[in-house]
Amino acid sequence: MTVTERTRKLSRLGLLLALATAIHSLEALIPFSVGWFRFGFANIIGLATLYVFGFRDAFLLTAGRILLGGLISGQFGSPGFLLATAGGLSSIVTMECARRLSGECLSELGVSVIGALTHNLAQLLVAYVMLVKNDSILLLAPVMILSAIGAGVVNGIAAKFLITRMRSSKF
Amino acid sequence: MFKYFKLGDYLLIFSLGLLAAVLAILLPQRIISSGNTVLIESRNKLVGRYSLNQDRIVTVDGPLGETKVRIKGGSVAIISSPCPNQYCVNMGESRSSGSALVCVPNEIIVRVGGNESKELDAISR
Repeated sequence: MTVTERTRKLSRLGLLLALATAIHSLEALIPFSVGWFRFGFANIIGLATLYVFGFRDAFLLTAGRILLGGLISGQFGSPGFLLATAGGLSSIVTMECARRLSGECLSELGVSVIGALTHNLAQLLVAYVMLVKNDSILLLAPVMILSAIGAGVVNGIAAKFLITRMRSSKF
Repeated sequence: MFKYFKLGDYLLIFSLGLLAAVLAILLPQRIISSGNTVLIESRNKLVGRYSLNQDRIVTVDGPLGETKVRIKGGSVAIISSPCPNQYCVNMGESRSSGSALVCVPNEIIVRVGGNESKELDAISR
């Protein structure tokens, strides 16, 4: 990589991180989510980074936006932060596995749905094991799966656009 | 735009939808039907488990003597006790899950269990 390319990559990753942090923070304002659970729309950026720059950058970006988003929204260290961490990191790891293992079977859409599913189920699991400790929270599982399908499809389509633009643009 | 996406994507989404539907039907039965029970402990040992929906009077032995517990119409009460201060009898009826009637002198605890805290008390964020 030449110096120009490295600079370009750095600035792009910086922009993506800022974008992901913004989406992450704005998402906390959605009024109809259940408690501390979140939809995971910031995964659009994680997914696009995964396809354009690879796993290492995507993982760092996700960890960074959870940290920064937590600080900005004042959720740092709260149960919501814990859920976001569990959901975000497990989702990016699973998306990388899905991307590699599925080969030609799944496109960005399918990988995104798998990521959203992991995101939601990890949140549910952490909430069950560490916060609520009550069986009745498992009743949310179907709701979480459905919302994962919705968020996953939206993310997948948005990420597809983003990936196409990023690959074709010179900036 | 739909040409970008593959058959696997649609199969995945469809099967997840199916899974959600199956879970939505099966889970409530599993979790909620474990529902309202009365657990009676004497000397820190579980001595009985009864349904809150079947009316009955249960007699429990404690260090001081017999305590009578009445289950009636979805609520439970201690109706007589050999203890001196009768606090347990004065606690009245209890029906919400997670609550308990306690007789300290006679070492008896009557718990209402089952689908505890189906609703959260509060959500703060």
